[in-house]
Amino acid sequence: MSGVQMRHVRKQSPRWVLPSVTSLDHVTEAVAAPMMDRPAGPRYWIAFATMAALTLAGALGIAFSLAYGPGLWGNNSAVVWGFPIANYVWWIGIGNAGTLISSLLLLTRQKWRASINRAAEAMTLFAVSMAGIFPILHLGRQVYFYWLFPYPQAMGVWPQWRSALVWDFWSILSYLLFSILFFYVGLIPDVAALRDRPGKRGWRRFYGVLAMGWQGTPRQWRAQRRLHSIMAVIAVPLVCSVHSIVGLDFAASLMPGWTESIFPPYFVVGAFFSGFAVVVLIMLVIRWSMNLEGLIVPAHFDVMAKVILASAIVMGSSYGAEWFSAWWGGERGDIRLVVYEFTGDYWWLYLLMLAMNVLAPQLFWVAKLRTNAWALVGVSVGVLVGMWLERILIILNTLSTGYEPSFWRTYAPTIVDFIILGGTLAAFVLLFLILARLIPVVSMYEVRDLLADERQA
Amino acid sequence: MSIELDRRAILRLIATGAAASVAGCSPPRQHIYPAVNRPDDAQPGTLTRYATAIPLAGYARGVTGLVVDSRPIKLEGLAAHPASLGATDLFNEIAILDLYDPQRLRTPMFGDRPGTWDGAARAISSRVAARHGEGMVLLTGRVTSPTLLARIAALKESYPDLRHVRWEAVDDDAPIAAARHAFGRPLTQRPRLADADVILTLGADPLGPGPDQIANGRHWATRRRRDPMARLYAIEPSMTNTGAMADRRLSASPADLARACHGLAAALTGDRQAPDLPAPLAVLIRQAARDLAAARGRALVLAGDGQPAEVHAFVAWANSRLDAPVDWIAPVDPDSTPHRESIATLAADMRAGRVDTLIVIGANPVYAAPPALGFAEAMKRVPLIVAAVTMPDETSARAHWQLPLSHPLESWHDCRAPDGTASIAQPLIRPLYDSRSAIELVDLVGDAAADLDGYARVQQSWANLGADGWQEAVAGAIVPNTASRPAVVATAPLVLPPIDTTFGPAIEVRVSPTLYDGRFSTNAWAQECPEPLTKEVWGSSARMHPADMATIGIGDGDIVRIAQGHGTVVVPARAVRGQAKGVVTLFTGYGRRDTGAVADKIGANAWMLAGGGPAHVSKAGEHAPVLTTQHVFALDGELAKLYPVLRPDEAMAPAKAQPTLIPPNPPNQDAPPQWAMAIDTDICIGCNACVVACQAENNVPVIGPDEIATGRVMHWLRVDRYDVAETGAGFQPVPCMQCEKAPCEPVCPVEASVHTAEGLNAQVYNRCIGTRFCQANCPYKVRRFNFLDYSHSSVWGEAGDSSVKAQRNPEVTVRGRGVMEKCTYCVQRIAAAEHDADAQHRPVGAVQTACAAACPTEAITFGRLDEDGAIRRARANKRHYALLGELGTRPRTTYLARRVNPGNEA
Repeated sequence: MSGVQMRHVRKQSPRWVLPSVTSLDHVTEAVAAPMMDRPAGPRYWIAFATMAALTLAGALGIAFSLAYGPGLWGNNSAVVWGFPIANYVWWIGIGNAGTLISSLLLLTRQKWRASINRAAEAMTLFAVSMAGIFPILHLGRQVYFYWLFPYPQAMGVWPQWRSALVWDFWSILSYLLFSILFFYVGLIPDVAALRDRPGKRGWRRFYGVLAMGWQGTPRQWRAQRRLHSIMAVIAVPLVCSVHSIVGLDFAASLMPGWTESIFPPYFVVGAFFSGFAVVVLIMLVIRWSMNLEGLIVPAHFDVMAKVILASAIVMGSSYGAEWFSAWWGGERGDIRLVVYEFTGDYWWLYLLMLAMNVLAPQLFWVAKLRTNAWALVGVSVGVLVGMWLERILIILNTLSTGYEPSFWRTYAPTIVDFIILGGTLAAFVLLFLILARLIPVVSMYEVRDLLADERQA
Repeated sequence: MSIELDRRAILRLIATGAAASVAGCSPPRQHIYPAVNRPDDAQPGTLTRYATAIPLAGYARGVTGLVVDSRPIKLEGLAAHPASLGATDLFNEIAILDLYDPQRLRTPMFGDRPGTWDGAARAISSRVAARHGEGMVLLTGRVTSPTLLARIAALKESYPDLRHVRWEAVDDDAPIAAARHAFGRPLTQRPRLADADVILTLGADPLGPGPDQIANGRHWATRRRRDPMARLYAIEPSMTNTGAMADRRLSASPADLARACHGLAAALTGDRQAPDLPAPLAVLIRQAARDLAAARGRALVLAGDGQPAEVHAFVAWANSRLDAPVDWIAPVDPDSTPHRESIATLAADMRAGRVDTLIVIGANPVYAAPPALGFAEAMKRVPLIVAAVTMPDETSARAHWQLPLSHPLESWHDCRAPDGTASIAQPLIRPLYDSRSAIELVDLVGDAAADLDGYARVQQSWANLGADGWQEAVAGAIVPNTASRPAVVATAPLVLPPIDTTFGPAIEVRVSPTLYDGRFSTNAWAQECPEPLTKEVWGSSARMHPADMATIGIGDGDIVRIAQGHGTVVVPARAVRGQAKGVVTLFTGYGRRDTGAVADKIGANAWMLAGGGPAHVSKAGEHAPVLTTQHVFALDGELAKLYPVLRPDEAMAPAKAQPTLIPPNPPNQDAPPQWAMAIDTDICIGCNACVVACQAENNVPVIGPDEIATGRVMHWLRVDRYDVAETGAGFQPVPCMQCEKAPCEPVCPVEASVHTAEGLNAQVYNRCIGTRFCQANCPYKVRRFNFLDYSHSSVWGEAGDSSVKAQRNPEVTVRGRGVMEKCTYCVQRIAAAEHDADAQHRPVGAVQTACAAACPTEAITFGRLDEDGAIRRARANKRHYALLGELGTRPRTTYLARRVNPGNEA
């Protein structure tokens, strides 16, 4: 990154592409050249090897868990859920931002999204993949996960539709499939551009297959735009429903701290929040490692920091609403839970979570910090930690103190829990590293669009 | 060299193997008589019930063995037996696991090498042949068996100089000595708790572990059910199950307890100077004395076995003054030598070289004898030691010969109940290994070539019954009219215990409610059964008053070193409620060595401190608390509704009607039986019989200390212990509530948790994929998850668990890894009853769940909600309540509230 403090952003008519980017060709070259023409440097391979090793460790953790059972984790007879569920909720939340950036901003014609939406969508795809591991892994008998699926069989037994876990199964599945399609539809013009660009034959053939005969005819463009917009229209409610249903996994229950009507919207915002934190981190890395300073500009970070700040305020209000409704409702179980959050076994984690999720993003009131790389990294990582803590604490606080004091138990994760979580983090980064060498991490045709617009203006 | 195997040879081998595996269990060689008078149809898989008896510390308790395919799988109570009354206790429930315990000694061992019975017999006879048994000692536990006593007597006839020493670590020396003093002869006190309106216990735990727990519990509960409610006062050094149930209890050091005796004497006689008593104690004594005196003839004072003889003598006086409901009987144990004296003399003789052959049958002095005797050292001076044991132990490990002793369920024997009633105990299975019974072993000592078996010996000693009488006695496990008759006793003189004011902590060694004196330490069910008051499992602690702990600068769970006389133990300390200041309490049974993977290195041996003398307690290490299955005992604020405590005349507030949108089910004349359970917390004494009965019945696996440490448990039924008032405690057994509107059902994504037409909340193991949402959403937290493959993993170490599998109930699925399980209301028993009813075209009869059948106080009732009966009566009781009823789960398991007499009226 060139200098820690990025150039300040002008309030009026922001430019989303720097003047150094002169032509439409320049855009394509800036994105495609580092990927296709230059070999990956030693830094890339070091990062690749590290992540591959950590991913392998995580895979081993998963393999052992499949072989011996959930007993390898810290879950106990009272806190029957633990890391896998928290990891799942956290990962799927991260996926949220990618879809929203692509769809919501596409629908509202926020052109600035052009340079970040590809990476954000890829992030969604990978995060949802990581999330998808956990609901199956967390089962006691993983081989029978397909019983959640209403397939025809002799017994005539169907899933139990009242269970939020069935809703969950469908929402993850549809979200994953949708994300793949959405990503691919947005990718076609770019892979076609790579196919047509001089380069190695094998690669061009690969892109050719991916491009599915895209020729860039006006008819194709019309179809692609229309499909992309329609999918975007579907995406917004879909993404909200996914996270609402994740919220219902908890809310459709009887336990204090879970039966909260605020959960569905609160989970949507929480997801948005952590997702944006990851987008910020990814954009910082791409901008720096692929020399895309011209396309990913400080104004982008300024906007994203504002989104994070706004989300933090909503999150803070949601926590406040939870405390208030416990007090106002007067339900003893709820009050006990709120007291336990602040004074119980996990009080320091709870305070840390509040600090990360509510206080740290307040730094972004200061305009300069919104474009300061270190502040962006710090707050984003803080938000991710805070949101993960929130996920695990929702589980731990409620299950550690139920209605029966005789069965109050605390939870302590095992090394396997951490290895699996670390493994998915590494796998996520690894997938990005692979992606960065395979397809353009910035949507070239959309940036060209944006550039053309700006040059006209 | 190669082995040529053709197809036929291979088939022959397979057939042989299959035949060998089928022949695993066999009925005893002699005919045994089922309790129910029906032909012993050899239909495989049918359950047959046989009455027999299991001894605890020599005293018989009748049991009914449930036998399937010649394989006893569960023990239940025996209604006709005075020490069972149809119920069991923890020790009777776990006995079945001892039978199949893989740690059992399977073959005679000479040193480390397998030997033969002939070899052992020759080794013994070579020593006794020439002499008249000089230098030969037979050491046993308490013997009440008429046959065994007769065989020992016969042996002594052949070898007049042979000595028989009987010794129990849990002795009754003090009460016997007190009786000698009071009445001039050894007598045993038998309180009639059913007739006692007012009871004062001085360190006594009649509802606690011991041969009489079941009978005491039943009689106490019988009286407690009657109005007006009986009163129970307790003064004790540390909380006992009896103390927990008391209306008023106070913890008292030995000195305060002696002072309390002085105070009570003053209050009862009215002509003595009352000593200075601490204020709360003075109040309690005043109230107790007032109530005791007012209830003359129905008032009872009890002293604990651990109390000195003077306290027992004082109690004898108090009871005779109060005309208490107490019977004095001649001791059932004919040997009235004090236990401590016999073992001390034996040790001295051994040290002095006066013993050259020691035959130990079912006693473990190396572990439990006072350390001052140096029994293990003394054993080195004995040229030949033969130890007969079911499970290898510290003593047998130091013996030259270890001989496998048969389990009571494998051998013919007889024994007497604590009230003297004799039982002839039939075996339910042929010995699993090459073992002999104690009777056969004594015969072997007398005559190496003896070919008479235990059956013949037992039959011989009951020859007077005649053939019919014999069959009847065997089938019922009771010989009629053999109970001891109460002795007529004179008025006991007043004895006042000296007030010991020596400085320093007092050590109280108490009998473990789960392991007894250590004889059940090897039993994995016993180790995993939570101690009733602290809920400790797989370990022992030193219970201390928090103030004492602060004095030596330790916190709860810190390791302490306790030294007394010749013994030192190092254990974690535990701050407990109801502990007297200056008293450190330890439970026996821990700190075993050389016994196998289950018990070795668990806790510390409290018998090391049983010698008496000044004690010293110091900090010895870091924080390492014993595992517990419950961590919170206090119920503050609104949580108190979980365990309501009422005054005797008080009623529960009626539950508010729950608003609902779902219409009630229309009445259905053809509806199947509706099952329900009612649990009376007012008479639950926390004995844990139900917990282990459930474990035995339902194939609940043992998961071991490592799993418990992560916070996992598998017991389907847990007994919650909560604080009551300032000093008491209460017990609340919590099985599945079988909610009519069960929160676990709608959250299961695969419909593994479903409701049956009979109102059971059923768990379909085959369908369960282990999401655990059901347990997460269960307000009662009664569901248990197989985090690992518990049913196929073993806590028995190298011994494996193949023999344990023979205990499993064939009617109950063995659950695999990743499956949720829980209390089923023993659905297999319900199904069996309904099947029988169908087959015989009659309405479904009574069904007893394993827990209800086990309960000594009949606190658990199971039955039908759709018929008039016990359940409807319980639900109409003014003390009736549903646990967390406000959640709208409509539980089928409901409770009756605990009562406590108001403390300080009038």
